[in-house]
Amino acid sequence: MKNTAKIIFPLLILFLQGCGNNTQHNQSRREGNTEPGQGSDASGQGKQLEAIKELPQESVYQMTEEWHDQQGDTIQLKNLRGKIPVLAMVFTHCEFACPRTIADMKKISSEIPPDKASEVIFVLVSFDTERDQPQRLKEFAEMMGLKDNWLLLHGDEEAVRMLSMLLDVKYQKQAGGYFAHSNIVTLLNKEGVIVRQEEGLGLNPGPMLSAISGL
Amino acid sequence: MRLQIGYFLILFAGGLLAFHAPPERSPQTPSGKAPEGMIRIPAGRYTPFYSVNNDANTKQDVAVKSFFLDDKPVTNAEFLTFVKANPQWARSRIPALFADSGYLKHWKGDLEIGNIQIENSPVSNISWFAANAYSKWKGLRLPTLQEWEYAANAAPTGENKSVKEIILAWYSQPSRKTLPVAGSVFRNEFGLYDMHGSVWEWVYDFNSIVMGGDSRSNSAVQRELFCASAAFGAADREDYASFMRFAFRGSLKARYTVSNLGFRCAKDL
Repeated sequence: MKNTAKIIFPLLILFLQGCGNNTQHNQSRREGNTEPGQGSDASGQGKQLEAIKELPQESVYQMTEEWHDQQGDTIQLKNLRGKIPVLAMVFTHCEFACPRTIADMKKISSEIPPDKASEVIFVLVSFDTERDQPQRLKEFAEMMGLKDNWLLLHGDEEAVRMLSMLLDVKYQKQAGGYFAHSNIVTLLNKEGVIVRQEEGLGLNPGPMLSAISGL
Repeated sequence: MRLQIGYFLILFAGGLLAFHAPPERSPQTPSGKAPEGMIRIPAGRYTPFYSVNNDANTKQDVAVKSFFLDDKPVTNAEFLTFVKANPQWARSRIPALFADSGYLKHWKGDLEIGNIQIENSPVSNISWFAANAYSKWKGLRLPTLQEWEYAANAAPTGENKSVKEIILAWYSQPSRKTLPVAGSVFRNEFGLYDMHGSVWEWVYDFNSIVMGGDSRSNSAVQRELFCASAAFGAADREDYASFMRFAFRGSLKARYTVSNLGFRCAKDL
């Protein structure tokens, strides 16, 4: 029983954090379920639980690895449910490609239509499991002028490798703490399904922006 | 209401845990002795086909630490045990995120191979995610690309053929209807069976081949591997056998399944 409590409690906290991040989304879900004709039969509650629990088959939110953000908080990707993430894998000591990718994302950020602005979140996941600890990520965010709608994530090597597999990002650690990697910006929908990926540097923000408008 | 929330959270937690298959066993061995069915691969160096530094002028050997590696690829029968213990990895239940539609398509059903001939043949039609999950469930891991390449470079025993000759003979065969029984093709000097000649094998970081620095795209990987003129980084441009293997890896995504792509597990000493 003690063990069960040990497992449940952190999950509970995670879940509550998840609520905090997407209050609006969960709210609308609850309202939906109180409508007459929905969930009024005996199995209603079961269905309701299913609906909250089940992610689309293609959702990357099925990955259960944990991350730490620039505030030091522990999160799982599924905590982003309800948001519209624009995501890239980078490392903060990168001198060439990553700053350009971040500039591309900033450009997208500056052109997002006002009605979507509060929903979109920009996520940077670091390849550098050693150096890009939360404190470093926080400093980097300040240095780069990344506002509150940016989430910078540190994970262990397994989490980073798993995410790279899910996003089809290639990377390799090299001598001197550098990483060779492909440059891909990924747009997820509110359920964590990949909607669009743009590869390369100096992206034209147009296609990404119109994809965001459609979500 | 409070009770309902509690109930809900427990179910929610159950959902979260569902994809973490608990380890079946963690092979406990006296230090240095290989677990059953595994070989202790000694530390050593080898020249990778594609260099870490991607610099044709500084062909560097790569040092590989000692590790344990399965002596044979994982078989259909072994993989079935995993699926039975972790039904979320059954063909009808695996989410599309973790495997394409070809997943275990050569089996008769979710929990049935349905062909006695292939029970002890290497399992194929499995994604990287499935191979990775199986390894974790066994308390093991997938070998890294460097480990696998180093282990696969060892010379064959009892044959007058080189590794390269075995591979080229394999490539030139028409694809077989059923894969040979694991361990029946050839043994190398480390004591490993069938590193070539039966199935290609997933490695943990198969997506780690990035061409020429951090500005290149995935498509550049393909271009550089396939353009003869741009095959810089390759240690031996005549090494067609290795070239094929690296090009194949470069074309994979982790959710792909292929009828002649299997895996074997590794473990730290």
